[in-house]
Amino acid sequence: MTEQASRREALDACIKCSVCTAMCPVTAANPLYSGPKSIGPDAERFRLEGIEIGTSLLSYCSECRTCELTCPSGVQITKMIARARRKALQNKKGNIKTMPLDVRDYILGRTEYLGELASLMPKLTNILIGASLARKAMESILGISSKAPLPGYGSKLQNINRKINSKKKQVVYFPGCFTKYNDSPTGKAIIKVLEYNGYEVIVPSFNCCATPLEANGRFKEAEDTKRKNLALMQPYAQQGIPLITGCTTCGLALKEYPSFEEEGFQKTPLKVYDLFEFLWMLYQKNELRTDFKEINTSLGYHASCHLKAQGIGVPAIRILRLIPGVKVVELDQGCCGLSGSYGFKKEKYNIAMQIGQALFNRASEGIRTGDFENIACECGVCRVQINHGAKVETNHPVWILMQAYGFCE
Amino acid sequence: MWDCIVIGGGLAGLIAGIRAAERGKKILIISKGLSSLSYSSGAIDIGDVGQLERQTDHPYSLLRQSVVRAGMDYFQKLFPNYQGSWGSTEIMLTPLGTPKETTLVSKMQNAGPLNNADIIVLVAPEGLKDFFPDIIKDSLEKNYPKARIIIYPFKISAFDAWYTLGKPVTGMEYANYWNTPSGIAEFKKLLISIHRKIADCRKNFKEIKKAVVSPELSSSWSKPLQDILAETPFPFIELTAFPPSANGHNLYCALTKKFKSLGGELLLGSEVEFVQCRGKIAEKAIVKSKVSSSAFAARSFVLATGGILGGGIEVTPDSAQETVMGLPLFIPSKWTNAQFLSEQPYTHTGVEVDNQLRPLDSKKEIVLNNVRIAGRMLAHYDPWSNNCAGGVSLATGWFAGENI
Amino acid sequence: MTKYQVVIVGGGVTGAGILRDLSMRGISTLLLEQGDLAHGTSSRFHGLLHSGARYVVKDPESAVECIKENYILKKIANHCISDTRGWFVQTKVDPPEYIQQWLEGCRKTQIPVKEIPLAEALAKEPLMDKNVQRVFEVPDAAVDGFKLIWANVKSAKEYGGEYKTYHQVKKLILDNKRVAGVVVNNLLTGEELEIHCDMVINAAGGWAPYIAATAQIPLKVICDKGTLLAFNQRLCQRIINRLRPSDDGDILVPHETITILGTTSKIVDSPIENNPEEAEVKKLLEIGEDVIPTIKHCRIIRAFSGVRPLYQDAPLDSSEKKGRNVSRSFALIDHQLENGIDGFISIVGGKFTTYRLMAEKVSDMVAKKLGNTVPCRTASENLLPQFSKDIEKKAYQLLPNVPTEKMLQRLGGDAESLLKVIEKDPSKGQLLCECEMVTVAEVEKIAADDDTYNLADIRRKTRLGMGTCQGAFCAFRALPLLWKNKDKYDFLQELKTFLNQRWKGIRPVLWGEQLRETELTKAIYSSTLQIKE
Repeated sequence: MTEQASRREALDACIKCSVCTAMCPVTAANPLYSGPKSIGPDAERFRLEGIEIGTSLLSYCSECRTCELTCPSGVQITKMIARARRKALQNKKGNIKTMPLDVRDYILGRTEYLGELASLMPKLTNILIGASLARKAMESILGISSKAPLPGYGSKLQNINRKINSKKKQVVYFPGCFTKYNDSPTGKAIIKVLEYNGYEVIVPSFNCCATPLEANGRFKEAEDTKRKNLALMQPYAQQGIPLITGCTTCGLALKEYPSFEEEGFQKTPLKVYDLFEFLWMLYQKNELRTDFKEINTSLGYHASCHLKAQGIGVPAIRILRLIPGVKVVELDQGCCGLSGSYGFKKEKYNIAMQIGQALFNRASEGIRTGDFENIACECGVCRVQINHGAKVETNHPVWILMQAYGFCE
Repeated sequence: MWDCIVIGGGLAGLIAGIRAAERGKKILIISKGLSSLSYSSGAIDIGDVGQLERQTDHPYSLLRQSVVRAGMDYFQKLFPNYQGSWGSTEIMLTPLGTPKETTLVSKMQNAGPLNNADIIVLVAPEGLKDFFPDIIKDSLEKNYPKARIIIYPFKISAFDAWYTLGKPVTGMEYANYWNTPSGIAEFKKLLISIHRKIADCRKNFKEIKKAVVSPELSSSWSKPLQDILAETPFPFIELTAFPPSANGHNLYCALTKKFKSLGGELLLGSEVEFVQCRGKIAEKAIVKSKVSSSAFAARSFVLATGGILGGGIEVTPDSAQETVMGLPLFIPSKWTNAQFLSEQPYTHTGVEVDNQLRPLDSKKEIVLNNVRIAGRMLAHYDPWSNNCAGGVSLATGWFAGENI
Repeated sequence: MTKYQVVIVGGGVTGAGILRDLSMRGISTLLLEQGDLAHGTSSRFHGLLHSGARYVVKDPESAVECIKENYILKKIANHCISDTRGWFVQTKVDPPEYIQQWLEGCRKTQIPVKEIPLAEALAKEPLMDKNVQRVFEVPDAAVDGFKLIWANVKSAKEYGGEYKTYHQVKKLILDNKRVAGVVVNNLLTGEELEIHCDMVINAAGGWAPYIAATAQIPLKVICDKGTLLAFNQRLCQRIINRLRPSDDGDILVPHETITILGTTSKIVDSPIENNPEEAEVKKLLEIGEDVIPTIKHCRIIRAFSGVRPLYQDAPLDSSEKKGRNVSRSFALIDHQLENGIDGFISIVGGKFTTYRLMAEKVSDMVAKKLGNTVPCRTASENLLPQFSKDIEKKAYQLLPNVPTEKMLQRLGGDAESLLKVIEKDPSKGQLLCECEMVTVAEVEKIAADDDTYNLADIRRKTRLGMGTCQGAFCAFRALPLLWKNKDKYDFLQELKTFLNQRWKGIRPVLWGEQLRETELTKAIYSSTLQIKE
């Protein structure tokens, strides 16, 4: 790459073509939002002068990264916006009017604590978040939409403590909060598939990947959390043990962790892989178990925004197509709209539903016409949203593998 | 191991990928972002092939007419609703309502029917960005003196919030709306009221020839809209749009959909940092993705990185470089002409190739045996003055795809 | 046949300053400018409000003038000035011996200097070369030339002063060795008129010799061309000067969203030789690299050249020479004493920073001749009336921060009428120029103004087309506004002229991201819009 290319993240590359704004799902759904070009590279030149465009405008970005992926000039627009948000929130002066929303964002950012709390009494928690009275109260007091598809809790995924053993093939698995607290069966399935392929799986007591904290403006806590996770990862990284994620948002977050070298963290490259990315690597080395049973099924596959942002393509489709009888159709309908906790918020719920509408239509239509039988997607939040918007069941693609390996029906 | 990795997902790269995938090859396209298709009208300029074939080193002179023809035919096969034939031109309307010659244009954008019109209704959606009905009306009056031009303004309730805020609705937003169920219903209603409006104008209504000119609906890409228009008793012509363009972008979407349906994989939003080569063989594309770089290996490569605009060529005050493989470039000695809109020599910058599209160095020797160059990366042509932008991409893309 | 007491030829900063000063003294004055105000040298310099530190060694008198005027202008025109302060940095190639001389010079001229510790300096200016040796801070500031000139003219108008743009003075009318008026050509209509006056002030900069020549007066002015570069973003947050004997490419000045680097020096034959050359551009970049090592990779949006008029005459022991008050910086010539032509004064040279002082000296001379005893008040009265808190509050309610702040800076209290327009029709509050965040309402208002004649005038007054895309998008978006004023504008011709004007500045810097922008612009206008020469 040339010197100029390495400055690509910088402002100078923007040629003002507006493609980012044309592709931004939030801009299309919300006329109050001036779009990524406006609050990104346009406003950035004025930020350097010390004038910020407006904090409410900054809050509309859902960080889906569509602008970055489609920009013909390679400008890292989302990064620019996130940086501006961070600065704006640091300078923010809260007041009585904003307090309930601040409290809400505080809560929504702490998925880990919510999860720990809820998993003590998952059934009770689920009854509570399902109760319409409670939801109405949450909407009026905290600004969490009463229609938002708050995911139900289940039993917690347990940690697996094992010693590092250089004689064995080992991987570290980072389940993420959704899998750990809301969907532990998928976590167990991922572990099983990895074990079946000859890897001993270690699950340290990781904290949240920190994305919910950042999305809700809690940057200092996010950084502290990242440091804690990094400290946990260090011994494995030093031994070259790869880290696997099953949730694409966690995967993206971990891949973008700062190195904190200046604080004494060792410069050991963290080998973070999405589950299917890792399985594809095994396949290329002829190390993937391909003793698949034939399954006659057709899937509609939704590539989550944060998977696309990882820049690894769609390895899940490649792997699933290896299974005899499996047909995969990529839905290719953009963002589901939920974007983490974005779509739970009262003022963003409708925008989120509008953004995901094309995807919901495609999903339900495809099932109706028999184009495919099931929907698969790696991101837990997308699954919740597609379920909510299209009323169709969505599963992590690892379950197809489980079927193919004969571990379930 | 992929059969071929196409670097650059624009018109040339996608055509190469589609043709190769059709022939059963395993293709990966890696694209930094969207291409200039999303700014373009969606029409294809082939240019004066006879003349350009005689121009020294022009891509047409290397590949010759038959390949240019093959590229054009291939495109029309992929998109049968594009009109136009070899050796002739069609007319479409610019965003200012002036006529523009092109070779292949979608039926909906073909302004030919306007020549016979007595009344032209210019549809004017409220608040549409970069759309100037008064100027367009003037242009239509000038170019179609026989016709009476009527501006027909209207609003859509789905955009009420935009109207209240005074926020312009972009062409893409309107075009996308027309393709939703409520948009399709609204469109039907719109056509009926236009029909009535024309009827109000004249007594001998049945004899007058009418036509409607409208900003982009992207109807070429929508079956329901096509069905409605098929039953409409007057021609409906879409203007081309100021960038970004719904028609151009939908052409891009149709190309990527076709490519994926043939089993191709498209990696959008990733940049190829460099290509690892051994001797004269290119081996792996190294893609910078987050933590570590990913390596994608292939038997052959197509470099379709879009020239200067696409970022495939980077120019510094002192030099110009081909960014992915470091290939030698032809750089014209004179860089610019004084009048901006005239021909500009810098546009000729690019990679020189043999008649198999393989990159050559200054001694005319092949630099990499398993690489082909397609589209804007090629040297010795000016797409704007030669009016051959689409033609070169189709010809070279098809040829590359045919020979992977 | 109108009569004024004074006609000023030349609408640069000097002329505008004199117009204001004379008008404030109650002297009826008309200013005539052949182009748009500030279209000459006053819009083609680096926009530096000198602290004077640059002159302390070679020209201490000038330095003292500068620091005094610096303080005055910061008081009366603070909306035109960005008080960024400035640094003088000694890079690794600059002579360390110079520092002592320079510090001594600053002390003598009473220019406040403060040394900045290196670590702090490097933290504040991350793009600056890490090998910089020493850094000193002085009260330099960035001044917006256009705004300042328009503010002077506006103030003059309030006192009865008048001006006409696109009016070229063809010759002086003499009545027996006495000035009786001027013959003027209205360049827009082709009409020729006579304007009668008692005195003519020749403030025509590089064109001053032509005016003087019409009365057979030889006025030797050297045209010194300097080229400057405008970078796409703020590369530094304060002015950065080289701490060395003054030379080319010494100064980086941040202006709002851009940075200017200048300048070069080349003697040319006429004031209209203002085409920037690639060799000059490359030279500036070589020198700029000493301060910002990555400067060659920073996007330049355009290069532009200004021709500085320097008065060339005999050595400086000129106090004996009659009628001439020449300092190293400017020359004020009373042609009655010098050449026997009564009622004709020339003012040549000078710095932008000291325009008010020059104007004061000229106005004192004129007032004396006309028997007017009103003292000069230009240093005490503020140039732009402040806008009320209510207007400010309303503006921030209607528009996002950036366009609001910029609009208020440009228009001050005039913004009120725009806010009313936007309240009635919110679509007018949308941005027409997205790079520089200029609203539709503002461009519409300026386009309809009596003293706006073309797209370039609109550009200068609103900043439309002065940002990153150099008009690629906003030129198209301005078309319907031009079309609406059909009697004034041929919109297609305006567009072509505008594109070619922008091209003149982009051609010598055509590489990198600006080259990509050009490709896109070419695709839009040549292909999509089919605009031909």
